[in-house]
Amino acid sequence: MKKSSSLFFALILTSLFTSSGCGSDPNEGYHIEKRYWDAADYHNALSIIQFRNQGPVKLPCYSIPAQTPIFRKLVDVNNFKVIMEDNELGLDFREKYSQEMFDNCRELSQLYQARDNQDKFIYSKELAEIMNFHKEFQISYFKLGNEKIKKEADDPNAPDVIKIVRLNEQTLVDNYTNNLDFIKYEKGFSDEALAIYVAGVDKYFKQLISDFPDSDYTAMLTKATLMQQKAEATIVKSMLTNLIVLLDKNIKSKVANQSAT
Amino acid sequence: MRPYVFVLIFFGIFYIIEIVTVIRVLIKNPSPIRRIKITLTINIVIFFSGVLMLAIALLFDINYLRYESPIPYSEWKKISFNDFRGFKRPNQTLDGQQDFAFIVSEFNACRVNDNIIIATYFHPSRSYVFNTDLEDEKLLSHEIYHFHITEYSARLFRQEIKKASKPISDNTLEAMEEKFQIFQDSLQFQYDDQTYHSYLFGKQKSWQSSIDSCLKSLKEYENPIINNN
Repeated sequence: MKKSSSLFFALILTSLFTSSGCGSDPNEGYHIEKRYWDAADYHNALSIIQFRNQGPVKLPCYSIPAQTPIFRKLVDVNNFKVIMEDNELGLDFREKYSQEMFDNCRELSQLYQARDNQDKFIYSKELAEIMNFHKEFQISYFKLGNEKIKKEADDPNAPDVIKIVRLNEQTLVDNYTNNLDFIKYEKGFSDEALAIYVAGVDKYFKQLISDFPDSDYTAMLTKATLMQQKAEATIVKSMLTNLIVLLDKNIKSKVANQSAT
Repeated sequence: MRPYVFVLIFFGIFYIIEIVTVIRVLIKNPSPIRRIKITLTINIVIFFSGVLMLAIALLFDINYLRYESPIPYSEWKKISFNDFRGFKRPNQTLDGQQDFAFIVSEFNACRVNDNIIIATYFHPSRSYVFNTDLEDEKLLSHEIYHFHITEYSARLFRQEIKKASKPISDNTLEAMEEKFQIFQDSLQFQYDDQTYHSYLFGKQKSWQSSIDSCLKSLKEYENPIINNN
C-alpha cells in the first residue's frame, strides 16, 4: 500500500508540474501586451520571427489568427509616431531612435516579400500594409533627419546646408518612386492586397508632394506614366491617373514660378 | 505559472496526503487516542500552514518587515525611490515590462471634535519599484503626480465641505468621500492611460502642467483640517 500510494502521489505531482508547461503561447516573447513597441521591441520581434520561422513555418500574418496581433503590432504607425513626433523629447534622442527603427523597417519589408512558385506574394496583404507603414515612417524619418541637420548647422540657411536637406528630401522622393515598381508585380497581389497598396499610394504620395513640394518629381512622373501603361488592374490605373495629375500640377507650378522670377 | 500556484499545489498535495492517511487509518478503526492524535496533528498542520500562507500573502500587500508609516502630502518633496518599500509580486509586469513602479496614495476623512480632517498620504510599505537604487527622475515624477492627483481630489473634497451651507452629517461625509474616491480612481486611470505610464513624454508634461494648475487653483484648500460648524 505504501509503495502504491507513493507512486500515486508522484504521478499527481508529475502531471501537475508538466501540465503547467503544456500549450505554449504563440505570442510568447513578443511583448504583445505593450501598447507601443519601441526599437528594441521590434528588434526582439524580428529576431524571434527569423529564428522560429524557418522553412515552411509561416510568418505572423492574418491567416494565423493566433499570431495576427503580432502582425498588427508590427505595422502600428503609432509605435514610431509617439516618439518621433513628440516635441517634448529631445531631437537627438528622437533621431537616434529613428535610425534604429529605419533598420527594423527595412528588415521587416524584406521579410515579407517571399513569393511562391507562381510568383505570387505569399503574404501579399501583409506586404501591402508593411509598405504603407514604411511610407509613413520614411516621411517622419527624413523630416527628423533634416531637422537635426538644420539644428546642428551654424547657419541653417547656408547654401551647403540647404543642398544637403534638399538631397535628403530627394532621396525620400526616389524611395517612393522605387515603390511604384511593385505595380509590375500587381498579379502577385490578391485583390484585397492591391486595394490596400493603392490606397496607400493615394494617401502617402499626396502627403509627400504636399510636405515636400520643392523636390524634383520628374522621375516619379516618368515612372508613373510607364507603370500606367504596364498596369492591368482598373484600380491601379485609376490611382496612377490621379498621381500623374498631382505630379504634373506640381511640376508645372514650379515651371510657372521659375518663369515668373 | 505563478509561484502562488506552486505554493497552493504543494499545500494541496500535502493536505491530500494527510487526508488519505487519515482515511486509511480510520478504515482500520484505530483506538480512540490514536484517532484524536491524528486529528490534532492534521489540525495543527492546517492551522500553521494557513497562517504561514496568510503571512506571505500579506507581505505582498504591505511590507511589514520594513514598515514605514504613511507620509503626509506636505512632505511630498522628500519622497524618493528609497521610500518605495513594498514588494513587487513575483513575475508581475506592467504590460510585459519589468521596469516600473507602483504607488499607493489615498485620502481619508475623519472627524476630530468640531473639525473634519481630510488628509492625503503616501504609503511607503505598499508602494514598490523594480529597483530602489534606480535614479530615474521621470519615473519618480510620474509616480509623484499620482500622489498630486490624490491631493487634488482631496482638495476638491475639502472645497465641497467648506462651501456646504450647514454642518456635514456622518452619512453625508461618507457619501462625499465615496464620490471623490470614484473621481480620483477615474482621474488616476486617465492619467496612466493617456501618458501610458509616462512613456508618452509629451502627454506626461501636459498632465503635469494641468495638475499643477489644478492644485494651484485650490491652494486655499490645502489645509487638511476643516471646521465643520
